[in-house]
Parts: sequence; structure tokens; C-alpha cells
Amino acid sequence: MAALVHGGDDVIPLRTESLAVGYRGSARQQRVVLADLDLTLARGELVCLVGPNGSGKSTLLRTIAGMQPALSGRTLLGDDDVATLAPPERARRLAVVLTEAVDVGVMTATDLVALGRYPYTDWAGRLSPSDWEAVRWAMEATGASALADRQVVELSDGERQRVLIARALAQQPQVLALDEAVAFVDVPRRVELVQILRDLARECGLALVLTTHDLDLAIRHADRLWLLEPGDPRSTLHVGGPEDLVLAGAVARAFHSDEVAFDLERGAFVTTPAVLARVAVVGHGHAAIWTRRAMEREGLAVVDRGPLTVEVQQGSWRVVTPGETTEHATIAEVVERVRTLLPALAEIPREAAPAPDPPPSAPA
Amino acid sequence: MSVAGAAATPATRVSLRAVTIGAMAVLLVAVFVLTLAAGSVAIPPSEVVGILLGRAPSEAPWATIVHQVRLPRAVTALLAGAGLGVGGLQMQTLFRNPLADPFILGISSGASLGVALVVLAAGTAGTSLVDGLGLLGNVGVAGAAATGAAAVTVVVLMVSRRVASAATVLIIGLMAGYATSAVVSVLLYSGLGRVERVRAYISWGFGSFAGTTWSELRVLTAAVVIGLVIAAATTKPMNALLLGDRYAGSMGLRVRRARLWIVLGASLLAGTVTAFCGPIAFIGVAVPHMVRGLLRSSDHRVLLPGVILLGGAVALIAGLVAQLPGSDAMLPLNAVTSLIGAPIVVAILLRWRRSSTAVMT
Amino acid sequence: MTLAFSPVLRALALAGLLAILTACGEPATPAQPGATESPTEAAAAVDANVTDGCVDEPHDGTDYFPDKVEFEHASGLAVEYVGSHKVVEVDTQTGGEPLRYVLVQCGTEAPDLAGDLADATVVEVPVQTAITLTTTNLPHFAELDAADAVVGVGTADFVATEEILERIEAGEVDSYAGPDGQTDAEAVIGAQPDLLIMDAFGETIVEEAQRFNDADVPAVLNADFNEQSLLGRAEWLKFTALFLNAEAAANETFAEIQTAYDDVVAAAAEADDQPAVFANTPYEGTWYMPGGNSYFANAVADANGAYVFADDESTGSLELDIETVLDRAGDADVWLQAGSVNGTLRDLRAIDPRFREFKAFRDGQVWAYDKATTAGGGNAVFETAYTRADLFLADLVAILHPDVLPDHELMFFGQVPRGGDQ
Repeated sequence: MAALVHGGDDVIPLRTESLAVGYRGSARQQRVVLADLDLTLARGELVCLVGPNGSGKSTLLRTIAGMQPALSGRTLLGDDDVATLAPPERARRLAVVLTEAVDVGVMTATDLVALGRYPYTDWAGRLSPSDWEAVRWAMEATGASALADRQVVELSDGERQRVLIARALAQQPQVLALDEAVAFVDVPRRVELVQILRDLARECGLALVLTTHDLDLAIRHADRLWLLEPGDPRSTLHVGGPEDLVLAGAVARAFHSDEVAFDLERGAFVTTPAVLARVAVVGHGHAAIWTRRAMEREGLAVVDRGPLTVEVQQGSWRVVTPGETTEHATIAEVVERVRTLLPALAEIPREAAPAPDPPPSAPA
Repeated sequence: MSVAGAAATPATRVSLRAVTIGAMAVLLVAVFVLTLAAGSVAIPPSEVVGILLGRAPSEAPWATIVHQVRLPRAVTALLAGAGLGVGGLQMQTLFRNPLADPFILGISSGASLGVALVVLAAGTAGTSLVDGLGLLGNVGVAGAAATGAAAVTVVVLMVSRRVASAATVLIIGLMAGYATSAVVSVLLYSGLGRVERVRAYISWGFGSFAGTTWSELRVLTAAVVIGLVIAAATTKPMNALLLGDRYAGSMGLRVRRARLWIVLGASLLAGTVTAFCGPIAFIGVAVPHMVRGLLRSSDHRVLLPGVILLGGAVALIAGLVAQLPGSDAMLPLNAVTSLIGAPIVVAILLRWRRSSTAVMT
Repeated sequence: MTLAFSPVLRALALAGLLAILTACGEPATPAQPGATESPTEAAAAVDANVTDGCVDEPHDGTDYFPDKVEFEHASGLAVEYVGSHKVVEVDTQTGGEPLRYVLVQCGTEAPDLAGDLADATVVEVPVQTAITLTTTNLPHFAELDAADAVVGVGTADFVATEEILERIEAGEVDSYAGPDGQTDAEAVIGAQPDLLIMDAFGETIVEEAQRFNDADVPAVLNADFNEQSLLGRAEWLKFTALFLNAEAAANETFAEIQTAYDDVVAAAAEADDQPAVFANTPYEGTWYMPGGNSYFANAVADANGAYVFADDESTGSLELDIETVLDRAGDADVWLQAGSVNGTLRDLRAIDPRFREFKAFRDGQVWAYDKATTAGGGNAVFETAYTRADLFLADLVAILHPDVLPDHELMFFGQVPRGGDQ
């Protein structure tokens, strides 16, 4: 895949200087959401911008993409201030993919991607052979070539987002800003699309910033996170590798809530209900892993040994108590069985669950 | 229009489009000639063609009738249809609203206000027969309508420059429309004018292609041509706007400036046509959709010629039907355009509801 | 045949007479020559219609209307004299029964109304005060020397008859309609005139008239505009005369008018040519052209002209578009009832440049009919011209055949000046 991206290697595609973002209300009242941001976006990296709702993800993204004015400070594309760049020139350096649905009427996917050549075509919008080459490349890079002649209105959400990403690519930008671009796509497609984005970053030297509320997706695939922690009067931005931010507890703090905690081991949010009883799960492999998960869901703590044991075998389970042993064919049945046993087991003195961290955080 | 090297269908689609546009052109010419051949005086079509070619007809008055009565009417209809169709297309794209018409910014209301002021409020004294002739003459009414339409347009344009959201512009335009309609109602109600003036105003509201003289046609032609040129020059921005303001801006379009030009062009078209023909409903809404359906495209470079041709043809057909050839009666033009246009609009609505991805942005 | 009245009955009749007088609001009975006769010497007739006041002592069988009128030209009118009352039939041409008015000599006993006359409006004659919302009746009062009887008109601005204008000027005549043409019914009822004349227009006019009748204002409908012959319209002079008991004057005046009219017709018939004529200008795109049997068409025929739509048979208006008119009248010689004497042909062309296509326009033979218009907007064409058919026809003849009536000065029509390049 040719690197159809402009700019030398040493130019930082996007950076901000003392950027403050927020809203300008009436009567000069400003609501500052974030301030003093000095961010950089490097070539070939995928940054995910994450944070709880209302922390300012979209505001920040829109500001650095030039769709919204900054309250103070500036954003630079290369060496030029986004605010002073002529729109066509800005369009050659930065393209966006948004989450809003588009209603383009009667149009094929190819025609939609071709719209991305807007900054390069003549006054009548005619595409030259090199323009078509860019369109073809963009569609191949995003795996949208098969959709070329399909009507946009007939595409599924995932297919359409793919085409919109291709359109942004056809603009041949150095920076791609995606605002919740995979939000309404189902999970497998979501992973596919993000993987495509990573490949684009790697192989074409694109700089990408993607806001998402899918924390798991971000942690797994981003090169760096821009993590927004809500605060009063304004949010704080943490920059770092996903793993570092997790270990530092920044993720947990950002998503702080009373009911949910971020489990460092699993890299996911878990609820911390009171432990009702203890259970030992004996067995290996995937079946054992998922059996443990089911037990935790029921509010039991999984320990090494105890009065209640679930034995995982090949395609069957056994629930063993001092008084009785039962056989079951599915985990669901095991769960039902355990439920009936709980009242008796509850006499066993309770112990606090091995809680991972400081106070649990707000839900994402 | 699409990537070569994909299946053969794009190529056939292109040639199909060319054929369709060709058919529209043929239809336009045919209906144009038909309009010239129809009228209350029976003139054989062969004579009509002869007169157009410069031959003297068997009956002297026929040349006068064709040149002075029918030809201006046909040309007016053609220009009006093309102008309203394109104006409607522009408004539908600008506001991402399939039901937008060229008057959505209050233009016809402004024109109505101008006409109402001149017809109803002026010259209340006396029953002099001159009254019936002078102020209600063509020039006065057209000028008043144009002024009213222009005034509303200027207000909307000024707002449009300062405001970021297309939806806000739309709302302002709608409000301007309602306000002027209210004033017109007051004028009608207060009986400032007498019954025959109210009748004259209502009569203007029926719409007509017959009221333009050749000298007025010069003005109408100039305005429509300018409006169409603006539309042609803004096809690229309009295509970008298909994705919505935000995407269009991110692709390098100066959205506010483009919006200004588009509104200007559409207002010029709609305002001038309304000034000379009265407010004509439905052509602006229905024709763009008909063309989109026939040409299977939303690309304005393809739509524009189609809308011009089919718009002109539809207007000519409506004019022809309104004349009820073969009988002495006539239908008001607006009634005919509504009868043609309303079913199409209903069909649009039904298809819109069925299409689950259609969203008003 | 007279009947002998017993003293008792005579006293009762006198009381009844007084009651009628009071109800009518009439002034005290003026002395009448015939009233001093003793009952037993009651004459078999009076020698003239009673034009002012009432009869003191009515006598059964007396013909109180020795002067009578007949209608020969007006097709919408008929009158029957029955001793002390007249029965007038007005055909408004709206289908159904004609309207019937029973005009009772004031001072006599009203007849029993039965059968056809059961719903008839009763009017005591002669009337002393009249409100006329029409304009065409005003010249009647003037010609019959009864202008003093007019106490109210529709809109004073729209009056063109001189004698009435003078009375308006002197404050003796009031307006009873607003500028939009709506009658102020309350004011009319308050004025309690002896007679109210309205035009027979509109579907509800009969009901409206009835409302006035119920309020003790006798209302009658005028339908002279339905007459398609000029003398027919002029003869409605006699209709107004019926209410004034002025039949003698009416007959005399009408005879004069008729003679003069016939003279003009004869003079016109001498001319060799028959200029082609058409009329009016389009209104809101429609050209309302008088029908082939209309008043206008008949006038043109009497003036020895050739109306281009004479072959049509209707009496109303034809609704045409400019095409048809261009086709038929493009070569016509004279264009009547177009433009204004205060305007120019240029103004006319400003309305529609296609008027240039008419030969009559190019020749300057365009004649407007607002020459006799007052400052307020009243046009004698809708007043005097109806009654003085001879003058109206003379205008037409003078236009079509200038040599025939060289001394005639146009009264209603005027040529529209060119006004620079047309």
C-alpha cells in the first residue's frame, strides 16, 4: 500500500499549544471543559480519546479538527494554525469521520468515496485519473472495494462506516479524526474497523485520533490513550500508553463509580457485590474459565478449596457439597443448582472479596 | 461517474442516463409545440409550425396569436418550470429536506405581501375605470412582487451569513413567511380594498403563465439564466452538502459562503418567477424527486440538466391542462400543479418512511 | 257606480282613514278638490292622478288613475290598473314568479290580497320620500320633476344626475351605503322613507327587500339592467313614475325620447358603411364581451354598426381570452368602452402591449365612456344614458358615422388621446 500521505517524516502532523476547549455561551460566558493542553499526535500512531460521558471527548476532537473554535491556545497542523488555514488546505491535511448518519440519496459507495477528493478537483468537481486512483486506493485500504457499486442507502451500518472512512482516506490527509466513528457498529465489525485503522497508521504513516466510549477496544488497540478524567471545574487529560494508564490507576479514577470497579487483572469493569459464599472451581481450559465467570456473576468468590466445589469435566459438570453431588449438562443448570444451595451455604462466615483497588469508580 | 474497471453496470447506467435526458429533451420540445398549438382559437398544428418558421398563415390574426399570445406563454412556462425546479433542488439539498420547495425561505410570502400592498392598499378612491387598468397592470404587480420577494431574501441572506446552522436559517425563513402571510391576511380582512381588489389579489394567487409580455420576458429570461448559471457553478458545493454541513466543511467547503450563493440563486429564480407568474406550487418540490428517480442519481451535475428539462416540460403540461383544451372553461394553474404534484409528494413521503436510513440532519 | 254610505259607516271610514294616515306618518290631509264632494255626489273618476298627498274621501269604483302607462319596450314590466290601486309585475329574470307590487292610492282602502297577490308588497302612492340605492332611477326623478322626492341614495359620491347632486350639495339627500357597497339597513329603516328602491342583484335580494318591508319600509326592486333594448331600459322611467302617480309626465317624456331615438336610428341608417365594432378590455385575463343579443349589441346595431360578435345569441357577457378577441376583432374599426378620457393610448398599452395588434388601436379609434364622470366617481353612463337612450345612441352614431350627426357633442364617450408614441 503506497504511502499516499504528504509531509516529511519530521513534521508532527498535529499538535496543540495551551489549547483550551469548551463552549462560548451568551454574554461572554465561557464554559471551559479542558485547558492548557499541549498534545502531540505522531505519524503512524493511533490515539484513542476516552473518558466518561460529558468529559469533553467530542468537544476536544471537534476543536482540534477545526469544526469548533478553541477558547484559547491553538492547534497546529504541521506548522500552520488550524484557525488560519484556508479550508481547502486544511482539508488536505485533516479529514474527519463522524458518527452521524448520512442521507445522500441515490449514490453508490464509489461516488461517496469520490466526494472525498473535494479539495483536489476542479470547480465542476470532475475527477482526474489520479483522483480515481486515490479513490481506488482508499477503498482497497479499507476493504470497501466489494461495496463499490452498492447503493449507500442499502449498506449496513458497518459497511457504511467503512465507506465513510474510505472517503476520508480519499482526501489523502495526514491526520484522520474519528468521532465515535464505530459507535453504532456491531462488535466484530468494530474490531475489524479499528484494525484497519491501525494498519493505515502503520503502513501509510497516518496519524489517527479516535474518540470512543468502548474502553476495552481502546485499551486493546490504541498506541496511546488520551484519557479524560472529569473534574470540577474542568476535566484533566492524561496521556500515556494504555497499560501504563491502567496500572497507574488513572483509568479507574476516570471512570470512578460506587457500584463498579476496574479490574486490573481482567482489564474490565466488574461489579463488586457482597460475597454470598465461596466456591472452588476445579478444572482446566475454557470451560473452567467461563464457569468461574458464572460463579462470580452469582456473587460467589472463587477460592482454591471449600465446602462447595464445582468440578468441570468434558461436557458436563458436577456440583459437590458435603451432603450431595449432582451432575449437570450446562453451566446454566449449575448456576440454578448453586442458587438452591446458597441459603444453606450462607451460614458460612462471609469474607470480603479480593477487591482489586481503591474505591470503585463511576460506570463508563 | 464511477470507477471504471468495476462491473459493466456503471457504463450502462451512464448511457441509460444519457438516453433518459435525451428523452426529457424530446418531451420538452413536444410539449412546447403542443402548447403552441392549443388555444381557444383553433389553429392547425401545421400552420403553427409554419408560423414559427416564418411562413405567413392562411388567416392573418393567427400569426399575431401565435407570436403575441401563445409563444410568450410557452416560453414563460418553460422558464418558470426550469427555474422553480432548480430552486427546489437547491433548497432540498441545502436543508437536507426532501419536502423543501423554493419558497421555503418565505419568498412567495414576500412576493404576496408586495402584491397585496399594491393591489389592496393603493388607490382606494373612486370607481374610475382607470383604477381597473392602471394599478393592476402587469408592471405594477410584477414590480411589487419582486420587491417583496427581494426584501425577504435580503433578510434571510443577512441572517444566513451570521448563523452557523442551516436549520436556523430555515426557521428564520419560515418565520418570515408566516409574518408576511399574517400581514397579507390583515390587508385582505380589513377591506382596505373593495371586493374587486380582493378578487384581483386572489386571482394573482391562482398563478398564470399568460400574463407576461415580451418585454417582461426579457427580464424573466435574464433572471432565470443568471439563476441557472449560479446553480451550475455551485454543483460541486451542493454535492458536498449532500453529506451535511459538517462533512462538507471538513472537505474544504466554505459552508457559509456556499450557502449564501445557493440561497441567492434560488431566491432569484423563485422570486422572479413568482413576480411574473404568481406563486406556483409543487413544481419545485416534485420535479427534483422525479428526476432523481428517473436518472437514478443524486449528483447535481446529472440532476441539473434533468431538472431544467423536466421542470420546463411539467410546467408546460400543467399550463396545457389548465387551459382545458376543447372547452371554454379554465382551471387555475395552481390547482393543476397541485393535482400533479401532490401524489408525487405523497409517494416521496411513503418511500421516505420505508427507507430506514433516511434522517433529517 | 257609487254606493250610499250610511252615516255610521261613513264615520267608521273616516276613523279608518285617520288611522291609516297616522300609521303612514303622513302630514295632515291637504285639501283635495275631490275630497270636498259629498259622498252622494262622488264622481266616477278624478281628472288627473293625485301626485301630492292622499285622497280625503275615497269612493269605491272611482278610477283614481286616469293617466296610465303601458309598457311596450320594457319586457320586464307589466302594470294593471284596478280603480284605486295598481298591480305592477317586475320580472327579475331569475326564474320563478315575477315580483308583484300593489300600489294603493293613499287615502283609499287597500284591496284584499289573495292568490297571486298574497305576498305582494303594498306601497302607498304617491310617495313623497324615496331612498334609491340604484343610480339608474335617479334620472327618472329628475325627468319627472320629482327630484325633491329623493331623500337618500346609495353612495353620494357615485351620483351623476345633476338635480340630485344639487340636493346632495344642499344637504337634503343622505348616503345610505358604505364605500364597499354595503347598505346601512338601520339608517334606512330609521329614515322611514315612503319607498326604497334597490337593484335586483344577488340571490338574497328578495329576502333583503322583505326585511325592509317588515320594518315598514316598502322596498321594490329595479331590474332595468335586464333590458336589452335601449328603449326598453328608457321605458323604466314609467316604473318610477308609477310610484309618484306621474304617469302623465312619464308618457310625455318617454314619447319625446322615443321620437328622438327613432330619428337618430333613421339618420344612422342612411350611412353607407357599417364599421366593425368591439368593446371592453380584459379583466384579470378574461375579456368580458357583450353577448350578441345584449344591450350593447343592440345599440351598435341601431347605430348602424357591425358588432363583431353579433352572431352570438346570448344577452349576458361572453368570457373570452385575448386569442379569440384578436381573431375576431383584430381588424375591427372601432373599439368602444376602453381606456379613459383622462388617460392615453400609451397607458392602455402599458396594461398589455398586445393591444397594439388591434387595428382600431393603431388607428386611434379607441373610445372611453367615462367622459361624463363626476369628481366623486359617478358616471352618467349608468344614469342619464339609461333614460336618455336617444342621447346615448347619438353618441354611438357620432362615433361610427361622424358625418351623420355633425353637430352632436359627445356626452358619454370620449376618444382616448394618443399620448405620444404608442
